[in-house]
Amino acid sequence: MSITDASERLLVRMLTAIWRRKDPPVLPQRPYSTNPSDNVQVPMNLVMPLADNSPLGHARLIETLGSAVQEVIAGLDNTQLVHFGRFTIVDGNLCMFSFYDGDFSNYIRDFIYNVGAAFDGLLSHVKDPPPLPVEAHPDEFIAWVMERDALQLTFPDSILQLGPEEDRDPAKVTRRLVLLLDECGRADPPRNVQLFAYRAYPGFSVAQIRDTFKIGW
Amino acid sequence: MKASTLPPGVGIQDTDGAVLADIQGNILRGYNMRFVRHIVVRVADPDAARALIGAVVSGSDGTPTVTTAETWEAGTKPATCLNVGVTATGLQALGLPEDWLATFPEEFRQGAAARAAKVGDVDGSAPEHWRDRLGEADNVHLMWTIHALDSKEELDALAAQIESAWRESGAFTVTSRLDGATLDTYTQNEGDRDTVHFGYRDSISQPRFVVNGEYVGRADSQPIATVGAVLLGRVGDGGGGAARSEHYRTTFPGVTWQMPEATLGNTTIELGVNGCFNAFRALEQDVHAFEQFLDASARTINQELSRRRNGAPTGASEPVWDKERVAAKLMGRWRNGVPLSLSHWTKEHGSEVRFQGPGLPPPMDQANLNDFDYPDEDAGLDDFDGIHCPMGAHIRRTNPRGSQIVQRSANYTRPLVRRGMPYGPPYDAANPDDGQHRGLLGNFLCASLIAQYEAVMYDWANLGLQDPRIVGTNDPIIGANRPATSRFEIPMDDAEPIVLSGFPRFTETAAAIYLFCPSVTTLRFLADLRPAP
Repeated sequence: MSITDASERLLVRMLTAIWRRKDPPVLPQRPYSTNPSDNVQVPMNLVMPLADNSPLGHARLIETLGSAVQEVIAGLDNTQLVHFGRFTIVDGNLCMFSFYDGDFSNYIRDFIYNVGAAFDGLLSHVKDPPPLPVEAHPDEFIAWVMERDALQLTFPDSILQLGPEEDRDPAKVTRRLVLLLDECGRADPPRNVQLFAYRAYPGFSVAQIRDTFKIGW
Repeated sequence: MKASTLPPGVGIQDTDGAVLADIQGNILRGYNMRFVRHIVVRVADPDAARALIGAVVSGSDGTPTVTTAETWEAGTKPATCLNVGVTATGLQALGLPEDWLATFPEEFRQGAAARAAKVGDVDGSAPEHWRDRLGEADNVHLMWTIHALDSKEELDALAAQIESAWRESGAFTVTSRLDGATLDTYTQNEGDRDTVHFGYRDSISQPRFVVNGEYVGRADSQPIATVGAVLLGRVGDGGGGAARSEHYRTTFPGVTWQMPEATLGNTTIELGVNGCFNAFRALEQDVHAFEQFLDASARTINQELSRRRNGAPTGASEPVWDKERVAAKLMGRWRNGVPLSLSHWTKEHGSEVRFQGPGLPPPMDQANLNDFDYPDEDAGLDDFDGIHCPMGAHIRRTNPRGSQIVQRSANYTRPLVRRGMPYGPPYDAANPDDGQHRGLLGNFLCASLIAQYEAVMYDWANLGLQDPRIVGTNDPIIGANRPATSRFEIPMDDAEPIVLSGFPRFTETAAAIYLFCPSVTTLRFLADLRPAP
């Protein structure tokens, strides 16, 4: 790192501390749009740090998922709200990425109802799990997932809420972003950020697509 | 009718009356009274406010007491009833510590104004437009509700008595008074008793509970609703201490909701037991725009059908498309309450005879108005395609009953107890611009605002997620419609559906409040709070 880079970082840290005092940032809630097409195919990026990152720990997780996978598929088929979903281990985290339709809490609640028991097994492998079984603690589980779901910066709308023209000054946008990302880093657990999501057929729900292709909804 | 064996936690068995005496009235059974006043207040003096809450629980010093769910024997129905709900900011103002408040569900703590966008309260319905600054949480702490059986004077007298007590003690300042009355009090026509401003007979469909082995409500093809759909609570005595009681069964078997509670040393007090949540809404109805839309839609449909017939006259077996048929398609019921799924056909007749003529169908026996389903196996009726009742009609959207829906496990999981009353004088077509406010004061009661009320409003009323044929459209009666995007499809037998579009929002939200309606025990607990200085 050059002296110039180090100086810039130090300056930004000092400025961030000042900005925070003047205008304490608040992580925004998941936005609701009045445009129905924004409320289907909503991305979820759930990142759950694993309790045991050894090969043995990963093997046990994979075995748990393997024994539950049919139940998870049946449950997701039953909710009919998830377009695509996948479990992936990324750098010591169990990640669940999906595109779902409708309200986040309804999606998670239906998921609990349909797949809760199978999901309890997976959650036993993550660090700081929610109270289990999730069926007995749905509200806590929904809050737990929300805290671990990536903050979506540009979907469905920009959450930067740039406001009137004078607030669109590039310097002000940078300041807002820095404050927001700084807050994400301070969160416990640190909050990830989704930058952008692409949808090839915006506005269509899972059931509409299944109905169109006559594969049953 | 006697209830047969029910799973534990579905009904209430109250042998000594203690449970019903703990639950506020108008939750399990409706009062069916003619006048209501909701008085929204702000806590001005917490000590005095708690003392007054204590007085309405004990009835000390001649203070009117809060009305409970205790059964009224014949001839003992009171002339007036008094109930109270508290907001999250109200609990704070009464001195509930933050860590206890944190045990209440998040959507309740955030309050109705913060949740407005989710339920479609946007544009002219956004909180900044709500009357009497009811969108500002600090103005909205408690809502006292007075019902009067049939005398406005009795309502005024009780209101004057309790408001006088507030003034003397300085307990509360009044933010808003909202008065409602059944429309028959204006028209003197008993037939208008359950009618709302859009002309529909209302309050027909309610969740049916079993209390002391008896069903409450009309005959219904739907399953019995668990009391856990509306009450937070427990079965039997959990024994206190750190152990949690067994809860009333929720609408999702096996899933339990967060229980608001207070912790005192090693003792946990479950504040939610026998309480419920209430999404109170003042809904302003644009009757003139609605009636104009009905007339215009009837013309549009007749023109379209004439075009499809190449100008040939209507066949004798085809229905008459007048404004009443359009109104019925939008609601799912004719304005006299007869459901489209039954039309004037009854099971006793054994075969379907659908109403084809102009105006309203013949009225049905009131007891049977709710005894239908969209796939009605008993009657051999399958309305999957919405030929009788469109998939997007208000009553089917907000309660799809046994219809096939996308979220397979969600049928019957989002019931709402609705207790409402109109406000404002009836609409007069001869004087449409009378400048009067009119609408509905609605209480939407449930055990979970997010899993029931908000889920209905967001996924079903304003997104149509439950059926791929209505996704992206809003409820025609209560939805957040905009002329540029509104759309309502009327499926037709063996023909392309008729599409109505370009209509505005007919119902604007003039106020919304998320309330907790505590049990009598919890009201007493709040009255006895002694916050640390």
